[in-house]
Amino acid sequence: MTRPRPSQLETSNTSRAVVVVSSSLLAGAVAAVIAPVTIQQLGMDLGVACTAALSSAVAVGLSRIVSRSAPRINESSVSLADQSSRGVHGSIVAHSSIESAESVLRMKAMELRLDERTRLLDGQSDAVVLVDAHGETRHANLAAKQWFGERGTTLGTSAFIKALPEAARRAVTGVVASACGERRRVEGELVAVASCDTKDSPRSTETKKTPVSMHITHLAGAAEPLVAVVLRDLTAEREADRLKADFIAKVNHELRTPLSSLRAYAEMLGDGELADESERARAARVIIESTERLSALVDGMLDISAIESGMARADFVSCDIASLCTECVTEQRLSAEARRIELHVKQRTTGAMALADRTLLKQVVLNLLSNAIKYTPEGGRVEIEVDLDNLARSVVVSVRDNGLGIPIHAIPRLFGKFYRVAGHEKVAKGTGLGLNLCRNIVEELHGGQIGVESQVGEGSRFWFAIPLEQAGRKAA
Amino acid sequence: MQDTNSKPARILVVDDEAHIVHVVALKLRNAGFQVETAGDGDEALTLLQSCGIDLVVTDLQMPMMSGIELARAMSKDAVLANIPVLMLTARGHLLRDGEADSVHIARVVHKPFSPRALVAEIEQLLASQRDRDTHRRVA
Repeated sequence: MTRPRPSQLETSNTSRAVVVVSSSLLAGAVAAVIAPVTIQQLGMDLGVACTAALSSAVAVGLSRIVSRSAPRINESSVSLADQSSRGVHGSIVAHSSIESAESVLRMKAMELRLDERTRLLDGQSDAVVLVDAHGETRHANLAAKQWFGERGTTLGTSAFIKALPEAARRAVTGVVASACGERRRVEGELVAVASCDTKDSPRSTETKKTPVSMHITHLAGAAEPLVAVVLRDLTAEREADRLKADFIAKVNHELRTPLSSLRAYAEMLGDGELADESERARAARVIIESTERLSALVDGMLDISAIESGMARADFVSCDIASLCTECVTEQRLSAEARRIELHVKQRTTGAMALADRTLLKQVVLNLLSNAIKYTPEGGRVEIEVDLDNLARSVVVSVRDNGLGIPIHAIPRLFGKFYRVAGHEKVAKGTGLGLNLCRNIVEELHGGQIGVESQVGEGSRFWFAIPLEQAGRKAA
Repeated sequence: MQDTNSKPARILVVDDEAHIVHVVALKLRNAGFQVETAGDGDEALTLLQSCGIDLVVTDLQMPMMSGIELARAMSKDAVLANIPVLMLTARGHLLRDGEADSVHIARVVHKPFSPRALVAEIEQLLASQRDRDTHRRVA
């Protein structure tokens, strides 16, 4: 048998290394996207492995790397390590076997690392696609396949690039032609094929426009120009922006309405245009009302903001909920009498205790009572009831009225900020923040629940439930 | 000021805020105008059909029917389309591009506004309207 000469062996192993690099180029390059491991580094590692003398320590170390995933290889490597450690030197055959096994070990170790990185890419919610200088897809992660379908991400085709908006295509071309490390960000709307578009099923006609950001990066260290395109779905961000803009518009309107009254009446007074005594008295009343409304609005926004940002400090103490409700009824009795509304307290339980911030909880009860009085026609009836929900171990406070009632379509938005039921503005003034504040106090600060049942023309029942104080759990 | 040779113009003030309606109406009456008031768009349209209104001052954000919707309803009516509309809005509440023109909103005044400045705007608008009417008659 002709034994290969060392130089031939070396050449043979180098070729193997080249083959390894070629076959793993795609995955290696993808790995380079997320970790500082480049194709050249991988190639160098293999080259070093091919030419360096094999030490037993290296063999054992490598055998550890692959021991969990390649037990068969592990056995051979341990055997090699043993042989090496026993001092089997000088034999070209042994050297050749050791080098071959070392190459396999290296390959397996690299495959393992690449597999981990592929998994890491597939675990991202952003679509990550690797594109070469010809605009052909070299790799697409799972999210990309879900967005563009199997067809849109077929390797070795330019289907992905073609699916991008024109501006993004231009940006990719520009980045490919530029220096390594060049980055561009493009925003646009993407018409992506739904995930049902697979090789096995006909192309889906179901498409959707999605706002996206695209980060396009010329990868450094790759053997050829490669560009990573990372697409992020901006739908949630855009919705958040829309809600924020909507909120600001509502605050703007709510603040400017009383400001308009203040400005107009102050000018009229200053210009001496309110000659009539009753007009001057009205102007003074409007000015006071407007400042109170502004103040309530600012207070409400500050309270809600503090609770929502987790900055609100609640002072939890043992509260007798029935007695708290009775206090609120006493405070609201004058307003009720002014509108000839009967105000009743119905206690189905006594001594129900809850750990609560007394001031804030009182604000909730007063708000519900005052709404009931405002939106119940003169001569109507409002009743507050305190009951226990033994199953849920909570105390339930209900405020019932036989007032206007709330249309069913308005109920889901009722506890939102600045929502007013159409037509209710004419009946009574309000900031549109009261019920939102109630919900925040009950649900965010007290871990309770708030809700409403209502029928137009018959009345409403607003209720909230907060956990009963448990024996042994007292306020600090 | 009003043209002393002609009958006073009749202005319709539309706002769901009673205080605003009251103070604007008072200012306009003091300035010599005849004033009608409405608390919402539906009421405004009814008055427009029956009262011989020369100009409408309306709030933008109103429940049921917004100021834009009111102006749009007017622009679709051959007679009402010629009545100038002055819109009161919160500053920063931008009308969409072309929205004001498409529904013939002649002026936009931001809240909080000066009643004095509002009267000046109304007088300018009515003067322009009179000029247009004169040109139309001559043509």
